[in-house]
Amino acid sequence: VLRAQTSRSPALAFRGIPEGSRDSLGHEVPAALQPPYRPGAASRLPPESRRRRYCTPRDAVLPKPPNVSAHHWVSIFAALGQLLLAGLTLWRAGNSPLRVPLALLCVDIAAWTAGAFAFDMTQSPTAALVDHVLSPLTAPLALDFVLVFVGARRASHQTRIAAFSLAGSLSATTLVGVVAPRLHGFSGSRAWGIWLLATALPTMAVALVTLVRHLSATSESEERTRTSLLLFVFAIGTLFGVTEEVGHFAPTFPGLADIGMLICALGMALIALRFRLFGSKAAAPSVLQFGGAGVVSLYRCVLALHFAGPRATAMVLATSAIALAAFAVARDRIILAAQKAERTAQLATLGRFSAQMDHDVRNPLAALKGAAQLLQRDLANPLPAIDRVDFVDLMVAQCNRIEVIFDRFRRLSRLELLRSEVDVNALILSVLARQASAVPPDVVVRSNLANDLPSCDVDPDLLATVVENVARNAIEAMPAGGTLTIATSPTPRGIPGVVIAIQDTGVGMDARTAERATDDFFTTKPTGSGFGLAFARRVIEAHGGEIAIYSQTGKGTLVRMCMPLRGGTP
Amino acid sequence: MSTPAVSDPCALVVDDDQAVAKVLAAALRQQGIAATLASSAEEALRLLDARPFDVVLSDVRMPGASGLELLAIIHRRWRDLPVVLLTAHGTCRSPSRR
Repeated sequence: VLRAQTSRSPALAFRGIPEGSRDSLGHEVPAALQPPYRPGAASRLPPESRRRRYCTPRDAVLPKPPNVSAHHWVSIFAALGQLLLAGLTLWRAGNSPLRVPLALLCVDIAAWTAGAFAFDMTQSPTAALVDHVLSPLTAPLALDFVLVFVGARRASHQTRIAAFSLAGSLSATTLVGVVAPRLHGFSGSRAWGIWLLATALPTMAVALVTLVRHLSATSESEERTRTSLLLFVFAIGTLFGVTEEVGHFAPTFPGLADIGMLICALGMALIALRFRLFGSKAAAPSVLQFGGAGVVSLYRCVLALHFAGPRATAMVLATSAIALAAFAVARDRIILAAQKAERTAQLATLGRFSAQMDHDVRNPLAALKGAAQLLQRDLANPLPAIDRVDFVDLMVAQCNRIEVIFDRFRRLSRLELLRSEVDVNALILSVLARQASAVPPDVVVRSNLANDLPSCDVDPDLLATVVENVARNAIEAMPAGGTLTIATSPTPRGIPGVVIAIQDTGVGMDARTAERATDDFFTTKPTGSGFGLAFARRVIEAHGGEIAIYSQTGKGTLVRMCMPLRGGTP
Repeated sequence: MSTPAVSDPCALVVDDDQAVAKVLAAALRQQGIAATLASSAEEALRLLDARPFDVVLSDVRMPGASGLELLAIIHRRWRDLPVVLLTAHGTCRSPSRR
């Protein structure tokens, strides 16, 4: 591990430190002119010479005052910037799907940047280990973020697994090197660097190509700007990150990873603040919050440096403690917010179910109550023109109706299919007829139903509820009016079946939201429950069918449901 | 069941739910109001064409034309005929918009 620490700093020339007892031009430097202990220098020196010349046992415990160079300030800025971005993303990104991937990526970069910096200051093997174990994970975490951003995380599941496996094996081998004598010296060695490049470069190439493809497929201007900026940020991060390992092959090549990560932090902050990375509804961290937190963190860092004196160890400890304390405070807020959001979502689902049940039960209940009141009055004072037997029969019939409704809701909640041959067109027309009064006047409803549609072996209640929910979602997505089109057609190929397509011209969703739209409890509506599309997916899949969502921000959404003609399980 | 006198006020009850319509009609008859039942807006319009009514009581959500559409047609063709809309939607905003 100690040898490995030398590898992370091929940037000696960049940092202005001459190699060993020679200057940068290769001339011998007299012992009297050789530098005393300087930060960064030790990491470039062979460990034996470092130990022999500079690192006496006393120094190891209490290092001499370091000069905090411009390079170190860049490291501090990069680590703090990434930490701030992670904290504020977790805190303020709402339920954006990018929240966790971005936070993980930033924490990883902050940790290894701080690890490299701490090693430069203290030569602590633990700091080097943090750097070498966490830096390989940056590329797969970046790929994960990009896949979520373009809405292809599930479709590219295998790619993600491969990227994490390759990088994870390097991190694991580095960790094993702590205890396995045969692997001593592997961490941070040239072989380690080659392994890192071999895993990180293809991963980042996939990430960049994915972003380029998303850019060419997107027509919305703001999404194009976001994608272009992300492409720039990730390209810079990759290029600058690579320079750190090129030092293994060209010792004079400067390592610029810290600068790259600082640019990445600034770029990501710009995309999040100015270009609404977390969506228009999520409360992105404000410029004031971000700037304020940055200034406070930096000021505390300077204070720690001042009061701890030039003792690098104390300063690193102090900044770590401050960062940890900040995280501890943020953590409580984050957990509370997450719990609140989950409770709200569950209550909203309950509310939607209750509202539907209330509506369905109200009619038979009204008839039951009316008949009972008439008979009550008739008992007290016999009324003319009342057929008592008829009214008692009516009351029993209403009780049966209510029983059927509860039975239907039980099947809805448990997805118990009660299949029968169903004319899908007739089912859709009956749903549209029931929905007619709930359609706002500025929404036009069009049906485009295929004439030659075969009948389908499905649960009519469940399918009707699905069509009703998806249609209601579509209407809610058009607050300013628009057109709702419901179309049916036979499946063009494959297993014989029926396709139901429900399209709106509403606000639409970005690729990230569309990918998660059918998740349970996922909603972007302030009062939504995330119940409609998740329920639709579960019903369609229970019938052995498939649901796909195509959406574009500002243009609308198409929900396409394919149902096989005959029963089957997925 | 006795038939109300010809001079009694008469109401047209429009509801696709037969049970609700039947109870509503019985309650009206107890108040001396003759009630005729229609199970859809289309049937209600046919009955309105055939004879005059004093009031129309209609459900909002029905297959085919809704109670709101029936209201619009009645207001166009029988401007002075009062229409009472009944709905199971306690929070339905559509009627208030018209």
